[in-house]
Amino acid sequence: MSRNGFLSLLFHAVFIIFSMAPIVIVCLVAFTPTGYLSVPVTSFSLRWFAALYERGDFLGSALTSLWLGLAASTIALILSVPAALAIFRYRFYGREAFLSLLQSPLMIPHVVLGIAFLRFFSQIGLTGTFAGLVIAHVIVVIPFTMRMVLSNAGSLDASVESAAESLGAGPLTTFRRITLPMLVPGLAAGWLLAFITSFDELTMTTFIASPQTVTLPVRMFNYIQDNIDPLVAAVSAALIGVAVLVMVILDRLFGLDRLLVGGEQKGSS
Amino acid sequence: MTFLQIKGLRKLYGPHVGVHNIDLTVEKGEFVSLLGPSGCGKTTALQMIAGFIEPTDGDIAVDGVSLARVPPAKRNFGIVFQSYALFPHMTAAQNVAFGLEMRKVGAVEIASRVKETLSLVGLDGLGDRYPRRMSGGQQQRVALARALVVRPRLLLLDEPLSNLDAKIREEMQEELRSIQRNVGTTTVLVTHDQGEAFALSDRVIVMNKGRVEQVGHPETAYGNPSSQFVQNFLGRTNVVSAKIIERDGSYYAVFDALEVRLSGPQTTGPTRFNVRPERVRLSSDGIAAEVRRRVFQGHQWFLQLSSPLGQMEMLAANDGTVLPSVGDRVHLSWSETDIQKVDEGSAGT
Amino acid sequence: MMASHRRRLNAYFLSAPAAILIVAFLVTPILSTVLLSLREYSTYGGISDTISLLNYRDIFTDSYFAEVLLRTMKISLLVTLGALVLGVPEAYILYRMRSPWRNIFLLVVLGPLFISVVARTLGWALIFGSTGLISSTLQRFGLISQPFDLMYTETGVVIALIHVLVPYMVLSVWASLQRLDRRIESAAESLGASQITIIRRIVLPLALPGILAGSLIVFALAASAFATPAILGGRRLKVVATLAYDEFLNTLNWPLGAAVAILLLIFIAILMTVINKWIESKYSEVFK
Repeated sequence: MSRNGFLSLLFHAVFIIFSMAPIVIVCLVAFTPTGYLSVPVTSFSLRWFAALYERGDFLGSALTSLWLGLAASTIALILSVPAALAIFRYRFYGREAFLSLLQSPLMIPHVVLGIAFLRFFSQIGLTGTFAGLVIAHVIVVIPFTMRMVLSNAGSLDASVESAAESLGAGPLTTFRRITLPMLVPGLAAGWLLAFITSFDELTMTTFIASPQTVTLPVRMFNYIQDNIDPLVAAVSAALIGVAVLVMVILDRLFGLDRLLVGGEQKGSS
Repeated sequence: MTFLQIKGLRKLYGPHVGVHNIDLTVEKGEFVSLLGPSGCGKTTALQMIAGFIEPTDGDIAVDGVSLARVPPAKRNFGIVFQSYALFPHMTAAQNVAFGLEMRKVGAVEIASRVKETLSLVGLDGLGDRYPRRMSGGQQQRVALARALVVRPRLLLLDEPLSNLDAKIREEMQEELRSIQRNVGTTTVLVTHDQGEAFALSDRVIVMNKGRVEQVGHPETAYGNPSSQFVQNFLGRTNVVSAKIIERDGSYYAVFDALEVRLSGPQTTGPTRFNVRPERVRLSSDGIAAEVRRRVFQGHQWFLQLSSPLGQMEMLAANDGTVLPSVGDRVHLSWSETDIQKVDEGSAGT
Repeated sequence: MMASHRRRLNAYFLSAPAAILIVAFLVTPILSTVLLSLREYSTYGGISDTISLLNYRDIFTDSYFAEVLLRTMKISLLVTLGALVLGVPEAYILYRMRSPWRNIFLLVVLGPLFISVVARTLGWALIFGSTGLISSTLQRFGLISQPFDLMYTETGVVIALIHVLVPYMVLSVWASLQRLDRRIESAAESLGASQITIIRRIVLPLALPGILAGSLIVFALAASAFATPAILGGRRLKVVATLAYDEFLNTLNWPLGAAVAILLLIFIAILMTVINKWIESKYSEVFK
C-alpha cells in the first residue's frame, strides 16, 4: 500500500484546519482579557470563567444537564441490557419490529420529537417537569445504549456461558459472575455515549424545558440569540473540555472508531 | 462395569435428523472418541450428554441413573470446549477456581486444589495470567484444568485440540492421554481427526450422517473397517478389482498378474478389495506399473502409479532405499493381510 | 417439550420494559402529533375539533412556506455536496495513513461529534461576524475596505453545517473502506494499475455504498438541522426546523407547526428507509 502523496497531505492539512478552526477560536476567545470579542494575543485571563461562576445561572443549568444526563443514560442502559439480551438470544414474534422501534429515535428529527413531546406532555400534565425531560432523553439515547449492548453481546462466546453452567452455576449466577462482567466495557462505553448525547441535546429540549429546568445547551442557545460575548465562549470552552475528556475515555475503553462504526469490523492494529 | 449408557438417543431438528439412534456403553475410566466428518452428529451427541441439548428420544444414564431430569449444572461433568470458553475477565487461577466456588468448597481447599491442578497441566506459576495473555496451548491447559479440578464424573472434550498448531497438538495429545490415565476420569472426545482419535482413545466410535458406523479399538477400525465409509474416512485406500478362483482346494485372489493366496473357503468370482497405500510394496514381480508422480513428504514418499488395475497410490518409508523416479516401470505386490474385501452391500455390518 | 414456550416467555419478559416505554412515550406522542396536525387553528378560537387537511394545504400553497422549503432543500443539497467533496477524500487519506497517525487523526476528525453543536456553531459565529476573524484579518491586510459579514447568510449556514456534519460522511466512508482488504490494492498495483486507476476502478466502487449512505445521513441531518441555522441564520433565514419552532413557540399555531413537523418526519423516513433499502439491496452482492 502506497503512502499519501504531497497533495493528499496538503488536502488533509486544510481539512484538519477547517475542522479545528471554530473549536480553537472558541477556546481562545474564552481566555480574552478584554470586555469584548477578541482573540487574545499577548495576555490570557480567566475573568470570563470567574464571571460565569458569579452569575450562577449557567452553573445551575450545568447541574440540571448533569443530573438529566446521569438519569437518562442510566435508565436507558438498565432497559437496554435485558432487551438486547432478548433480541440477541431468542427468536420471537415481533423481534425485528422491536429492534427497529428501539433504533427509530435515531431517524426522527429532534424538532419532531420536541413537538411531539411538548404536545404529549401537555396532554398528560408533564409539561416542564424534570421527569418529562428524563423520559424524553431516555428515548433519544436508548438507540445508543441498545447498539452498544447488542454489539458487545454479539462478540460474546455462547459456550462461555455453557462452561459456567457445566461447572455448576445457575442462570442467575452465570449472569452475575460471567455475562455481566464480560459486557461491562461495552456497557460503560454505551453509557458514556448516551450521557454525552443527552448532555449536548438542544433541539428537542428547547421545546420541553421550563424556566426551572433549562439545560445548559438551551441556556447557551437562548443567550446567543441575544448577544455573543466572551462569556458564552467560556461556557463553550468548558463544554469542549468535557467532550475531549469523554472522548479520550471512550477511546481507551472501546476504541473510538469501533464505537462509532459498529462492532463488526476487525480491530485496526 | 458399564458407567455411561446411551440408549436409542435421537435428535430431530425439524424434519432433519441430527442424531439417529445411538446406542453406546462406556466403561469406567475408559477413553472413547466420537469420530466423524463435520455434520455427522458427533457434537450434537456430546451436547446431549452434557445436557445443553434436549434429546428427542432415548436416554442417557450414568451409573444406572437417568440424566433426563438433571440440568447441566447438576451433572458434575467437566467440559472442554473447542473455543476453550475461558472467562476472559478472570485469571487462569480464578477460571479454575470457579467450579469449586460453585460447589461451596472452602477457600483454603480451593487454593490448594487450584494450585495442584494447574501444576498437573503444566502451568505452575501462571495462575495470575489473564487468558488473553496466554498462548493457545496454555489456554487449552487452563480449560482442561478448569474441567478437571471439580473431579468430574465424566470428562467431555469437544474438538479440544483443533485450534492448535500441528506440533503443539501432538504434544498436547500425549499429555492429555497421560493426564487422563493418571486421574482415571472416564472421557468422551469429539474429533474429526482420526490420528487424534487413534492416539488418544481406547475405543473409537465412527459416525456418519447421524449414525454409528463402527465401534471398536482404533486398530480394528483401521484394519477391519466395517463399511466402505469407515475404510475411506480412516485413511486413503486403493479399491482394486480381482477375481477369486479355486485351485487344488486352495483359494486365490487374482489381481492382473498378481496371485494372492487366501485362507479359508471363499465365494469364487469377481470382487473388489481395499489396499491401503502403505501396504503396497515394490517387488521384482507382480503387477506392472509406471510411476506418474512422486511427492516427498518428509518421513515418507507418496507415489502415484498407473497400472492395469487403474490409478494406484502407495506410500514408501523414507528409509534410505532408492526409489524409482517418474516414468520408471516397477512391479507392485501385496499379501493377504494387506487387503480387505470391499463391502458391496449397504453401510451396515 | 415446554422449553421453546418458556424461552419465548423469557424473551417477552426481558423486552417488556423497553417496549412499554417506547410505545407509551414515542409511538403515542407521534400519533398524537399526527392527530394535532389535522386540527384547525384560528387566532381567537384556538384549536378546533374538526379534522381536515387544511394545514397541509396551507403549507403547499402559501409562498412563504414554499420559500422556506426550497431554502431548506437548497442548503441541504449544498451541505451534502460540500461534505462529499471534503469527507470522501479525507476518509481515504485517513485509511491510507499508518498507525499511530491514523488513530490520532481519526480522533481529531470524528471528535467534533462529541462537542455540543451550540459550541461549534458559536465558533463559526465568532469567525463570520463583522468583527470576526475573517473580516478583521482581511481588513488588517488591506484586502477589503468594508468589514464583511457572513452572519445571517446562506453561505455562512452552509459552511457551518458542512463542518457540523462532515464527520458523518468520513465515518460512513471509513466504515466501508474498513471492509476492503488492503491487499486488494496491492494486488491491483502488482497487476500494473496506476494510482488513479486503482482509485477509480477498485476503491471508489467498493466505497460507493458508504458514500451513498453518508450522503443520505448528511442530507437528512441538514434538512432537519435546527441549532446552526437558528444561530447563524437568525430570524430572516428560516428553514423547516426553525419554522416549526416558530409556529409552536412564537405564533402558537400548534396544528400548523405539527403539520410541518409531520411532513419533515415523512420526508426523512422515506429517505432513510426506502432509499436506504434500495442502496442496500443494490450493493448487497458486494458485501455478503
